[in-house]
Amino acid sequence: MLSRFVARRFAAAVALAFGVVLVAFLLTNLVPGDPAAANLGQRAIEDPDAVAAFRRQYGLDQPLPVQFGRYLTNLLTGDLGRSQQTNRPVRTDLAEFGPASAELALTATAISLVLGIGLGTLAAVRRDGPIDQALRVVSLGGVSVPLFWLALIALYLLSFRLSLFPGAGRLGPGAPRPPSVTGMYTVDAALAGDWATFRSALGHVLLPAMVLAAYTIGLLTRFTRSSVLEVLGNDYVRAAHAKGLPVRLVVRRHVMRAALVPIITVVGTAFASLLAGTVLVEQIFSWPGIGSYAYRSATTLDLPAIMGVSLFVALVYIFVNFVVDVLYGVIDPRIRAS
Amino acid sequence: MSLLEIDGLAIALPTRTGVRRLVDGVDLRVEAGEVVGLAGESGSGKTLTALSVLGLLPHGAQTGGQIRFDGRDVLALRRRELRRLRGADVAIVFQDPTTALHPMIDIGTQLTEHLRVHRGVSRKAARARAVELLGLVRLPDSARALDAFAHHFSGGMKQRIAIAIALACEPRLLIADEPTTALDVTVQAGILQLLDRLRRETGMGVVLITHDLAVMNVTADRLYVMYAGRIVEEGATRGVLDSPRHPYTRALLDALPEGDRHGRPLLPIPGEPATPEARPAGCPFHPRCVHARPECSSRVPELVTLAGGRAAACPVDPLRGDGSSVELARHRGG
Repeated sequence: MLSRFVARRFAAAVALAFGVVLVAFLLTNLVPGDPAAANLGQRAIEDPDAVAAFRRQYGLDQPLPVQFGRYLTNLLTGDLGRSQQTNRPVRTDLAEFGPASAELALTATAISLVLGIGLGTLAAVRRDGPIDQALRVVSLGGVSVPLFWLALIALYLLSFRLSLFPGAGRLGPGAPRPPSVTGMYTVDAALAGDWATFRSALGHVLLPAMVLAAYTIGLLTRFTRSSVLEVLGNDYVRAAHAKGLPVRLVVRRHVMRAALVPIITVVGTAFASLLAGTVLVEQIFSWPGIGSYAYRSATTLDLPAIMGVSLFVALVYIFVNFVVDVLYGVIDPRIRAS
Repeated sequence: MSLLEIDGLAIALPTRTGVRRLVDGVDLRVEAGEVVGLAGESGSGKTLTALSVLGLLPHGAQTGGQIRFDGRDVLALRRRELRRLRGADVAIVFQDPTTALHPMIDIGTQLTEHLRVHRGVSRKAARARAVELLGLVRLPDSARALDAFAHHFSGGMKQRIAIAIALACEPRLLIADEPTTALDVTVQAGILQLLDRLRRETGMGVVLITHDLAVMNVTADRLYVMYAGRIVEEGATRGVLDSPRHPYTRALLDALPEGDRHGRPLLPIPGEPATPEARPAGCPFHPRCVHARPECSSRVPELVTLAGGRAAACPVDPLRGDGSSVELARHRGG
C-alpha cells in the first residue's frame, strides 16, 4: 500500500517538474534586456556580425517555441546549455557549486531540526514556565531579524572580533581540498579520514549555517510548541499516562508521532526559505555555491545559467516536498489510504 | 480491607473564577469482583473521582482525604510508584475509544507497550498475549488486528480494543468511565455484557461511571449517586433504583426514557445542574428539588445510613412524601 502511495506521489512530482521547466523558461525569456548586450564587450556589441554570431551560438535567433523544444530535448540528454559567463557547460558549474550549497543548506537544516523541534517540545512541556517565556523571545527574534544583518553581525563579532569561528570561504588556508566524492568538503574529508581538513571544513560551514538556520529555528520552535501542545491535550496522551508508561516514552512515542505531521509540513516550506537565504549568506560569507552563482548569472543575464539554477532549486524543492509527502504516509497510516 | 477505599476525598481545581472544590467528602468502597456504579449528571465529579484513583488529575489539582488501593495510600505515592500502579494494578477505559486510541500507533503496540514496561516481557510473548487479549474481548480476526490501526475499526470494536488494553496486565481494579456513552445503543449491551463476564472470570473490581441509570440497572451490584461533588445516595443497585431515597435519584429515574413507562410522561429535571462556580448554599440540589423545604437552603444534609446498607443525604423521604414513587417502585420490582 505504501509503495502505491509513493508511486502516485512520484508521478505528481514528475508532472510538477515539467511545469517548472516551462514556467522557468518563459519567465527567463520574458525578462527585458538583451543577453548579447550584457555579455559581449563594448567593441563586439557595435559589430552586427559578432552580435548575430552570439545569438546564433546560443540559439537566440530561433522562435521561442523552437528554443523551448531544443532546450527540452537537450535537457533530456542532461545538457543544460553553456553558461555565457563561465563559458562552461551549466551542468559542470552546477556540479561544482551545488554541493557547496547543499553542504550549507543541509547543515542549516540539521541545526534547525534539532534545535527547533527540541526547543519547541521543551517549551510545550514546560508551558508558561520561565523556559517557555525565554524561548518565546528567542524564537521571535529568530524569525524577525533580517538575514543580511545577522550575517554581517555574526561575521564581525564571532569571527572577526572574537575569533570563535574562521572567516569567509569553505576551508582554512592550510587545509588541502579533500578528494572529491560528494563535493561536500566535510563529508569528503570524513570519508578520506582527514580529520584536520574535516575540522576546518566544519568550522567554516557552521557559522553561515547557523545564520541561515536562525529563521527556521525560530519558525520550527514556535510551530513545534503549538503542535505539541495541541497533542498533549488529546485523550490518547492521557490514556498513555494511564497505562503507567514512563513520561519520556509517552512524549517520544505518543506525543511526537502525532505532532510531527504538521511539523514536517513546516520543514518542507522552511527548506525553501533556506534555499532562498543562501543567495544572501553565500554572498556575505564568500561561499562559492549556487547562491553566488545565481547572483552572478542574474546580474549578467546569463540565460542558460539562470535556467539551470532555477531548475536545480525547483527540483530540490520538488524532491523535498516529495520526501515530505512520503513521510506523511510513513508517519500517519490514515493518509496512506486516502 | 476492601480493594479500594476512598475516605473523605476532596478535589479542588483552579478555574477561571479561582480555586473551586469540585469533589467534596466522597466515601466509596469497592470489593474484589464487584461492579460499583457511580452515577450523576455531567460535572457532578464522577470522572474526577475516578481519575484521582490513578493520580491522573489535571495540572494544579489539590486533593484531600484518603484513597487506599489494597491498603496503600494512592495520594501519598511518589510519581514512580504511581506509574507502577497505573495500567498494572488499576486500569481505566475512557468514554470515547475514537480519541483514546492513538491514531498512528498500531493496535499491537498499544495493546502491549505497558505490558512490556511493567513486566519486561519479550516482543514475542507480548504479541502472543495481544492475540489472547483480543480473543478475550471477542474481537474477530485478532491476529490481523495487531497490525491494523484504530481507524480500521468501528466504535464498538474500538471500545473492545480499549478494554483489552486495560486488561493487558491483569489489573485488580478496572475503572470504566462512561464506556458505552459514545457507542450506538445496539453495541452498548455487548460492551456491558463483556465487562460483566470479565469481572466474573478475572475477579477484578469494576467502577462503572455513567449518567445512564438503565446501564446501572443491568450491570452494577452497588450504586453511588453523585450530585455537585457529593454522594447523595448509595446502596444496592436494585434497592436504590426501585425505591430511591433521594429526590435527585428519583428525578434521574423520571428523566429516563424506558419501555415500561406505560404512557407516563418523561420528566426532565427542572433547572440546570449546579456548576462549581454557582453551587447553591445548603443542599446543592434544593433549587431543582420538588420536595425542598426552607431549611434545605441553609444546611448541607449529611449522608445518613439507612436500613439494608443504604444511605441518603436528604431529610425528606420521597417514598413517603410522594405517592407516585411507590407506584414506580412496584413497577420496577414487577
